[in-house]
Amino acid sequence: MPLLEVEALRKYYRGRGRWRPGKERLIPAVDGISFQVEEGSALGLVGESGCGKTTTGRLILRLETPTAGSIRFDGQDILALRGERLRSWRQQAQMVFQDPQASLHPAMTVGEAIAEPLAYHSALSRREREERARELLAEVGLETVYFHRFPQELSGGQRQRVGIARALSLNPRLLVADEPLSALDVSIQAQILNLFIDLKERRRLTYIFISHNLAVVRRLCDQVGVMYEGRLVELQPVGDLFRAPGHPYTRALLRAIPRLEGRRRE
Amino acid sequence: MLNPLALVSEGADACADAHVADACVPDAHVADTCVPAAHVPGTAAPLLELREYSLRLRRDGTGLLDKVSFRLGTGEIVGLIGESGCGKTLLALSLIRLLEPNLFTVAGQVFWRGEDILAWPEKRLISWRGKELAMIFQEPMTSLNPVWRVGAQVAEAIRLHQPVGVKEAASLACQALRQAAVAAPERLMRQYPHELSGGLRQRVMLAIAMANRPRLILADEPTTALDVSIQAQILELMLRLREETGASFLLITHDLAVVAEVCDRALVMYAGRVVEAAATRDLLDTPRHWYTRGLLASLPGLDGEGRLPVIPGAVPAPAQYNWRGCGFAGRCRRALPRCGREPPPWSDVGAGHWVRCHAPA
Repeated sequence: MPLLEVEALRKYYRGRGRWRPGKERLIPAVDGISFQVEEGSALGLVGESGCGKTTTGRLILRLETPTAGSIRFDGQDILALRGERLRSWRQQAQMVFQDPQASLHPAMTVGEAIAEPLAYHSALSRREREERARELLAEVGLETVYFHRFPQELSGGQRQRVGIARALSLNPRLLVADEPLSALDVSIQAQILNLFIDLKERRRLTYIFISHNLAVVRRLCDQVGVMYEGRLVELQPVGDLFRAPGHPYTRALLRAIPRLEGRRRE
Repeated sequence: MLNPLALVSEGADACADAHVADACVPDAHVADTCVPAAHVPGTAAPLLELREYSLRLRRDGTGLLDKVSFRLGTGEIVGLIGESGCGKTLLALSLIRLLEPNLFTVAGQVFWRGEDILAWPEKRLISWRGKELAMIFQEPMTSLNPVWRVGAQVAEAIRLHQPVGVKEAASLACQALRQAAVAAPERLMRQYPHELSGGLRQRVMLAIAMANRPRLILADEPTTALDVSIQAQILELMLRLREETGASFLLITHDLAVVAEVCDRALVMYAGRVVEAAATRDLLDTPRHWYTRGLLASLPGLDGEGRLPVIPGAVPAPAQYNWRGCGFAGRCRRALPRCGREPPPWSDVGAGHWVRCHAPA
């Protein structure tokens, strides 16, 4: 049984009817998408800004309420969860954001930021939480000297490692990563991408990996969904997608990637 | 287009140029890193030429740029590559003289069509900046004024440098936007920056930069904040503008694939120094500096799988730049004992390909 099953998921936002009262427009951000993700595998969602890939990620984490459709996690309908059961489910699905600078509190040290989720979701003592935070720091490849540093003292790559450590603190089974590499230099992207690959193998993590870069997705993901205007226009195992992209939009995306062979100048 | 390899013979002439040697600033640690004039990579008839251009913080003397030398010819697109913190943006800001002069000390020379701009008075700079030399930035939203309509912002750039009235400026602005491949420029003129997509905002920035037909545009990571498909469009646009106007570009990027797509030549920077310079094809096919090799290897291509080879560590802060030896020695897998102590000399590895490494690949 797949860990995550998404069926006919829709999210419509209300358009602004401020200037024309009575004429309300519905904007389909996510327009009926379905997919399944096996435990320990990774689904890449690609597409350009505004195609609904971020909204899809947020819907899966229940940060947004879907207009229609169903999301099942490990067999249970997560849209029906309320109260304490919703709270305890939330530990199992965590998010890594694009811009770690914006998602880390500037007045909290790295150690505090990583230990914070444990204070809400576990019965660990302060000591134990700190101990756990140090382990996580090592797991994402940061030296312990960073434990007492503030986010603004770190480089972009180090901050993203902290963002990942924080997302891992509750031992989630599903990680939704929303463009986690886009704000980083190419060389640092490679380091963080390797970290994602390692964590997937070591922890048998399941990923929803949102990106506009197909080259990155290729190295991490098992299947790729290409989104365009809220719809999934193509969903294929990663090898097949690169060998034989089915949709014209996928081919256009592949063509747009700058290549070292440099075709544009010739 | 100029032959990017023309620099070899040109370099030999410059060697005879007596005052280049004077530009070597006597400095205890770095005196022996002086690049002989013959080693100045570049092309004939330079539009811009830097000779041992160095920049330090006035406060504590922290070195930021160390003897950067290169030439840029008319109609050339030159890539400036390196990770964040290597000094690429600082170099650009300093070239267009946007840095607060009281905070920095400058050494060396910067020639603009043969004139040393470091000697220019502020008045001269004001009429030059934005007219002959323009700059576009990574995040267009932060450089556009949120409360001005797009048309007014393009027209402002025109009226600052051309003796035209309001109406004429507006029609020139409209033309500039059309040139930047905006589909409906008349409508866009009346819109505000927040109404535009990222790609469209970057086109507006390009239109502002191109409005006065500058000779050189400093483009600082112009596509990094954009989606791949929009990035491809902006790169195409840069190439087209070069064809149409003969403008040169200095394209700052950390993405070697972007360089491969549009640049004629490329300079690789590390820790405030240029460490390798070559024609793009040459640089990508046979990179000789280990830093360039590392950058290339860490690019996820469309055919690879699994983990990527990475350069360990990160660029140090300027105060930790090691200029006594090779700046990259600390992260280099091939570092020899002397790499940390002796500054590597420039060596010519053929066909205008220059590298600063004790043991080039």
